[in-house]
Amino acid sequence: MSEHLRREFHDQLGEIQTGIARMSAGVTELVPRATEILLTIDLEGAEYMILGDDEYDARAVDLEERCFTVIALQAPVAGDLRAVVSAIKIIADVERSADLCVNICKAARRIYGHELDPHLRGVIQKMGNQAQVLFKEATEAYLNLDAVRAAALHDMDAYLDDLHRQFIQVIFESHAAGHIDLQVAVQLAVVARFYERIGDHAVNVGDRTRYIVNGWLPERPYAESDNEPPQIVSVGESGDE
Amino acid sequence: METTADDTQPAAAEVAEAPTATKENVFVTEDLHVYYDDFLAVRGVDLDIAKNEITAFIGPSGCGKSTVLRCFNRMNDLIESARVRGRIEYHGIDLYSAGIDAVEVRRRIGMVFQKPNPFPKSIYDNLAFGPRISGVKKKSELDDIVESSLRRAALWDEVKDRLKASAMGMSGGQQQRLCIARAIAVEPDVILMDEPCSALDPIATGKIEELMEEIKEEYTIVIVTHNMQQAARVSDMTAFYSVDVNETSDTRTGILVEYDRTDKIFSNPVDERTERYVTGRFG
Amino acid sequence: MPLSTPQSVGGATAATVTVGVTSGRRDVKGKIIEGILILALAGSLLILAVLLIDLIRRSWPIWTERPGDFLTGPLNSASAADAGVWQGIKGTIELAVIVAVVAIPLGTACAVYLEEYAGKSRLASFTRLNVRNLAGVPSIVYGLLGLALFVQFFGLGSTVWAGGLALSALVLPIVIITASEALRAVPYSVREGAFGVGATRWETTRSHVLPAAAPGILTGVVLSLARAAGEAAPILLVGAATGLLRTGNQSLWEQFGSSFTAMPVVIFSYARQPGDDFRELTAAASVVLLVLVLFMNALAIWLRNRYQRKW
Repeated sequence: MSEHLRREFHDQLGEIQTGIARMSAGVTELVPRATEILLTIDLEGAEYMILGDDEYDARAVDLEERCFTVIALQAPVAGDLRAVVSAIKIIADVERSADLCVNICKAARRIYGHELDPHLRGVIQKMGNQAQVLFKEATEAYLNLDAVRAAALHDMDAYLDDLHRQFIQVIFESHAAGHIDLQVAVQLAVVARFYERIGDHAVNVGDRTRYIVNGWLPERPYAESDNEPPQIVSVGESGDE
Repeated sequence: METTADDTQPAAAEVAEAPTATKENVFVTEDLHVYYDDFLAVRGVDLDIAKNEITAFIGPSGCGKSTVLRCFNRMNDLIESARVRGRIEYHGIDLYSAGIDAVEVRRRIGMVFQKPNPFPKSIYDNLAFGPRISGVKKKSELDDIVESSLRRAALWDEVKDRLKASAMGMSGGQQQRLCIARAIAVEPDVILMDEPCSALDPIATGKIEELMEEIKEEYTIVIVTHNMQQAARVSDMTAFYSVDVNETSDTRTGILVEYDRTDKIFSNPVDERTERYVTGRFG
Repeated sequence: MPLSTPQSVGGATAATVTVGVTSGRRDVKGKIIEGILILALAGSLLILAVLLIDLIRRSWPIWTERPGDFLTGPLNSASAADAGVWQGIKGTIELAVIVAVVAIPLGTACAVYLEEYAGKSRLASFTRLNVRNLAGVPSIVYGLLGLALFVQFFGLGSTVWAGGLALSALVLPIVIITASEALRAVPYSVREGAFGVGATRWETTRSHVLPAAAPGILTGVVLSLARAAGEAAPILLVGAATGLLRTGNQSLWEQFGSSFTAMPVVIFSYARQPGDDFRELTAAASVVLLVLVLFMNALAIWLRNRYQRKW
């Protein structure tokens, strides 16, 4: 049918995409692992994961360099250009998410020796699950360049944000009831933020995927604050559509 | 309000398109067809070329880009077998209507060719030829025209001391700039360029691209190029032509596939054929 | 052994490559052919040299004894001692002038029309074909044409006019063909450049095509003048004098309108006479004609070079 020139170039793009998807799938597994380490306060596990982050950093740097090489040597345009530019941003989101899992482990170390009541544990588990689901969906959406699947991430993240608010509430209650001291409460609040941020990064991956497919960035109709009511910020008059 | 449910294009893009309505068009083509004897070389071209912009024609070989270009200054008249159907308007006037003098058309719509073709005469005579046949006789006037054309083509400093030297002794890049100066000397309002840089090295090419940017303010430029990066670099609007292969009659006819702002063609083209061509997935 | 084959490239070392590039194929066939070509050239030059030497040798007595009288003397088939070539030289030059004035502009104009204006119409193709045919017509036929048309029908008589016109007709196809070739050799890009700045076809032709084709056209001029100078048959039929030519004190114009002779005819006349004296005269006259033709060639070549050196 049609000739495929520049096969080498498009193979390189494909390799970058696969590499990113693999990294993202790895993070998808890091999330439940971090949750487990937090809930069981597994010091050894935490140590292991903290050290393992170097590998993710290295992979991110390698993939990013490959993107720059493609831009320098192949002069991509149109869909290819969007793919490469998006890849660079997605690498950052995925690498940051790996760092967040590490941060959860570090928080686990800090609450060593303290017991968490069942209610807290329940919410933590739910947040961990939801964050994992979000990342898994984002990975699949990116690997298959599925814009519809990517669009669904917004709603899933909204649920995660609800869980976040819920978690904060439960932390207050738990501290008020004396089950946990201030230090632990603060650490847990920070952990809540970490999970919520992982969700946001997954949404970013989804948005970038939609950019690759559609050629334009979907609007973010509300600011990223969780505790304020949604503010509709629109460009032009599209808010009416 | 969530816009995630529908992936409609934001209004920002629509705002950017509004200004084209107020732009003045130099050329408007309507259902343009060109035949060589019975062979239909290109069909159904509808274009409007705006004033003081650089428009690029890109596409694979044999898709009719040069053929369409040569219709704009009636150079196709010189080919006996060529026939034009459809309408081309130049500032509102039908170019192919009965009373139009093709020679006058070519004075107002200049052309630069793929291989630099200076006349085998002196640099001065190359530039003075056009004005002379237009009626300029006085030497002082001719001198002025020669100097101003060379200045505008960024060639004056390089050749001002050897205007009487043969143009054939210049480098390829200089010769091409001389051809541009020669076109400018008769004060056209449009300059057509048919792959002007294909025979030149990157530095000469760069100088000509820079020149195009500079003279854009005074002239309207239409350039045919095989080099997509060049079209991306210099043009404001890009027209992508392709070949329509008719399996049954075994003919290949050129068609205009997409015509849009250059940044759109190279970042997010509408037609899949355009996307495939610019990303190198086809031809 | 070939310089490199696919398998040997991989294993190329300094040693194997040196052997490959220095031993070389013996280009035997090439050398033989080169030798044959040189022999052919030498042979041609030899023939010309022999001819020239023979002529000079045979005419030597005239050059040593009475060169001045010979060159200024009249055509005289009766008395060898009084015979000269002056009228022949004069006639040849006069005829050449007519050919130059008539055939060259006319032929060039035809060529310009055929190449620049006529295009590919059937009439044009037909014309081009016929011009080629005419170039091959034997010169004696042009003599008959001259006799019938110029001498008798137009009533010019056996004058320089008639002879010149007959020769012009002979030479016209050659001029058209070589001028056409010269015009065709001018690259189309030159014309395109001129059209591109809004020149009409004539402006383009006059200012660019003709000057560029001038060297080639001048070559055609050389060929045609040399041919005209050397033809005997047409002017014989037109009525050039062969025995004796009486000319009084005529003005130049009157000369054109009166009887004439030319170098080829002079040579012919002397060649017909018996006796060694006339052998010498014939040889000497041949030398004169050769010198004349050489001079005309040199002039045209000089003109061509002068035009070419500009660009």
